[in-house]
Amino acid sequence: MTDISKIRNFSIIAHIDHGKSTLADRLLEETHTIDKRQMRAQVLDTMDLERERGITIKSQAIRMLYKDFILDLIDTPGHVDFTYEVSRALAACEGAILIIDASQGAEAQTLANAHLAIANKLKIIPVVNKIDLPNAEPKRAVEEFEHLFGFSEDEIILASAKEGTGIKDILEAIVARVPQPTGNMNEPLQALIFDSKYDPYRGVVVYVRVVNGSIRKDSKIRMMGTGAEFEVQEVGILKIDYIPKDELTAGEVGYVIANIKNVRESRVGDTITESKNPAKEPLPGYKPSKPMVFCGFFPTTAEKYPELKDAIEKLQLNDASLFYEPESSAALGLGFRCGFLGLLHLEIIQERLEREYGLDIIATAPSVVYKVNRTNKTSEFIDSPIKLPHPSEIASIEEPYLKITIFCPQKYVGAVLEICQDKRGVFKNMEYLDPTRVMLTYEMPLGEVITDFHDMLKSSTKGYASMDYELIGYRESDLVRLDVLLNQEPVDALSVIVHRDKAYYKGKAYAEKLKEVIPRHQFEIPVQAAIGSKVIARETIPAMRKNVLQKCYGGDVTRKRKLLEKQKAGKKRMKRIGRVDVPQEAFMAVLKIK
Amino acid sequence: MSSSLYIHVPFCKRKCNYCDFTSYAGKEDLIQEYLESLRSESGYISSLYDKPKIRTVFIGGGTPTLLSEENIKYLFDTISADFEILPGAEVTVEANPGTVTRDKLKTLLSCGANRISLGAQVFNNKLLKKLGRIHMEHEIIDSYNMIKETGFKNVNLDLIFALPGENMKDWRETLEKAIELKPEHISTYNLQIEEGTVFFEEKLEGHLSLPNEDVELEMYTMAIELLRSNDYDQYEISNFAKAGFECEHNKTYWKMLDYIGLGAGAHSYIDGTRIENTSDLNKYLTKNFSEIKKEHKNSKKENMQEFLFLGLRLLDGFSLGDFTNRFGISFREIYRKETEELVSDGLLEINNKNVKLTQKGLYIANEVFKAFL
Repeated sequence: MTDISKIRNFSIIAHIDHGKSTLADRLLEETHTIDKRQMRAQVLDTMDLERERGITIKSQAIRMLYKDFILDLIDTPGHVDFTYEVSRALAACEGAILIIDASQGAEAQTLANAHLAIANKLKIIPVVNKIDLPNAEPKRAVEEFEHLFGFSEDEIILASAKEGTGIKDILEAIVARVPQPTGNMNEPLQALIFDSKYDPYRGVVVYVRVVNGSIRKDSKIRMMGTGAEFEVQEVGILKIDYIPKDELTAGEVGYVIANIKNVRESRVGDTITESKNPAKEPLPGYKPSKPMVFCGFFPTTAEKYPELKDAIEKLQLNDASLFYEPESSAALGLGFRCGFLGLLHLEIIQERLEREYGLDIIATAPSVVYKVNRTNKTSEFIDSPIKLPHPSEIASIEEPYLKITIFCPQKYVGAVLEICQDKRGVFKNMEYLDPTRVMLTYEMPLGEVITDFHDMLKSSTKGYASMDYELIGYRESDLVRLDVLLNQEPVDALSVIVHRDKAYYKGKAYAEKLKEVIPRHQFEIPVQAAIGSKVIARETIPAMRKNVLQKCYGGDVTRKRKLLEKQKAGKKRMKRIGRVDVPQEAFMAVLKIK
Repeated sequence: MSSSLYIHVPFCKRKCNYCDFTSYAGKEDLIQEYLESLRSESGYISSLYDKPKIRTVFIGGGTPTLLSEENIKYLFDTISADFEILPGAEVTVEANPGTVTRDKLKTLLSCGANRISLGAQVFNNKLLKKLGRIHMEHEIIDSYNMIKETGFKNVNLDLIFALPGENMKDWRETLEKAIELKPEHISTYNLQIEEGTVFFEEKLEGHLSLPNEDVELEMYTMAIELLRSNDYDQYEISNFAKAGFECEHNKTYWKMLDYIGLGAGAHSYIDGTRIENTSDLNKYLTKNFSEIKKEHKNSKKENMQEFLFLGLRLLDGFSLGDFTNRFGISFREIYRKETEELVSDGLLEINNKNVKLTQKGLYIANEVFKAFL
């Protein structure tokens, strides 16, 4: 049995790019958990995508030994899409290191993550990182810690994870300030699932924090949320590899393998208990994840449908928050309607389907879930513009709204206000963080945020603005469906739901954008935008006029063939609708409307 | 066997901004060594195919007229030792203004060359400079006159259009000036921006203002009309000739007959096999032919596809009978679906004997070619 008084469970939380992964790397080095030889940057980010994008998508955990203490570090996903996952990872800890980048200051996610940590009653260790940078202003960061969270100056550690400064101080603070876990070894088992991943050889590996009792090999367990039961095959602790142990006891972080076939049976936030001596109550805070953003995935050619199905099923094994169901589009044929936690989640899944499974897919524009109140007094939730009933049957439409928090330098406030206004935002509050930076609060439809809001925010503030958001509920809006006709044929997959006030403007801009991204064909293609049966905008893609290889390179026929084949392959990546080859960009064109 | 012969001379005074051919600037000191390497390749090929009979010769580059008179003689000695040049064979040498001299031309003529292809490109000093050519407009005319005065009776002018900054008026002037010289043959190529060229980089950086697709087409159709009204018959997508002066060598490629390519970056098509020589000059100089040559035996399908996309470049197209003789199967039978669609789209014409592009098909020939791939 592990001595609970020697355990410290903690997380590192920060705004993206404030140096979370680098600090984790340094802690692992300093505690000799990984020797220098094994070290590569961002050890905890295992997926290629995570390394490339510099973000953590899945949670990770690793055990370090420091003096005679056990330090379990739980790394958290670094994006607002995964807020629920972050909150569960934090629930598995007693303490958190909160990082502020000395050159950037506090950002929207600093605040959001700190609030999650406070809500989970965690002891927070404030760290100002990157003090080595030439433009670092550690004093300002310290002041922000004081102002925003009420820390006193002597609590705040100055560090440079890159150069290794302050690492010892942080380890000492973890031992001294983070409280020991409060669980009871003799109570019935309660273990919190904070992540799980699918391993093709071992099935699902569940990451847990044991709160009460213990879990050992061969015991029968039950998932309190889903009711599923399993027999434990192996338990252990997490180092760079899985290290099997006889048991995990109250206070410990580790893994459980129990012949689980699908991560949906071990959902983040659920509580594991023992079947024969179950806990009375599950741990608080479990809620099945609910997708916020939906889009359709379609194979570019119909015969690839089974491959796409297979790939999505495989991805879902490792991603309980990915939702999918078959969707049939008149224009695109058979595909899937998929639900995601947010836009980033969507992009990641799309990229993985293309990269890891080599599929050419068409993704339709993301949509939110609308609540449609019918004239016959019934109401329903729809996740696709295609499913919107006929206007005569609609009494009203409601759409999801967010509370959105934006941090930005004072001099960009004007630009930010303008964007928020344009995106149908409702101003709520503006607060000065210091004389040069402000925090803005808005309420805004999610449907506007999932277009190009974030890009616009970044580009109009030279990258200085950061944002965070939370769902606050549904509100009625005057919404209409904008349809698109290509070559006189309606293309359901291009339909979007927009606010009535902007429908004309958007219809025109949409048609123009489509004209830009759909390549010329041998014939002229009319592009029309319509509301109901009324055409509100029309553009024409002129017929292709010239496409001919000229020079015959001294008999280099192979080269000519390659050029033709390349052109032909480009065509294959497009979706043929009627006689028109439509590229992926067309389905995202609506997002690019300014 | 009888075949065509292509010889590549990969040397230039400087590399043009649009050029991605195998050519090297500032390596003139390697010319003699290169010609020696060519001689051993030539001997190797000659013994391999039992001193082939040659119907046409084309010495291209690079800049073959960068060679000295000594070099030229050495090269022609090589050719005549290893190949049997058939009587009446067309023997073309590419020449670039700025490197042409009377003495070189006389040497070429006495060695057996009977056709010169002059890289004029454009009659406009500003555009010549933009292309990175080493010569001015008046040097094109000087070179052309020298060629004619030396006694060459068959001369081609190479022209390029759709250049950065070129407008319709510029292109018309170039065509008119070319026509005024009365060459027997004119080639007009639409500039293509190829990877690895100066233009490619400039385009990436957004510094290249190129005519759009509509202007390109207008330039192309103007060339066709202007040349036709001056008795130049268009017999291929980019080639125009006075009666009796079509380029026999290039027709070898389009009719998919055999040709032997010698030199760095040269290509051969022999007995259904495509062979590509390395374009790496140093590698070529090793004379290690197993390393230099990359072979690909075409499948029947590949041969059919290439026969189509090469043959359809000719305005007369290809003959259905030739297709059947060559592949033992009827064209109509295997490409029924593709043909129907192309004919109904007005891109392809088919009668009892021939298949050819329509005028519209000519402009978007790639769309037709792709259908057969």
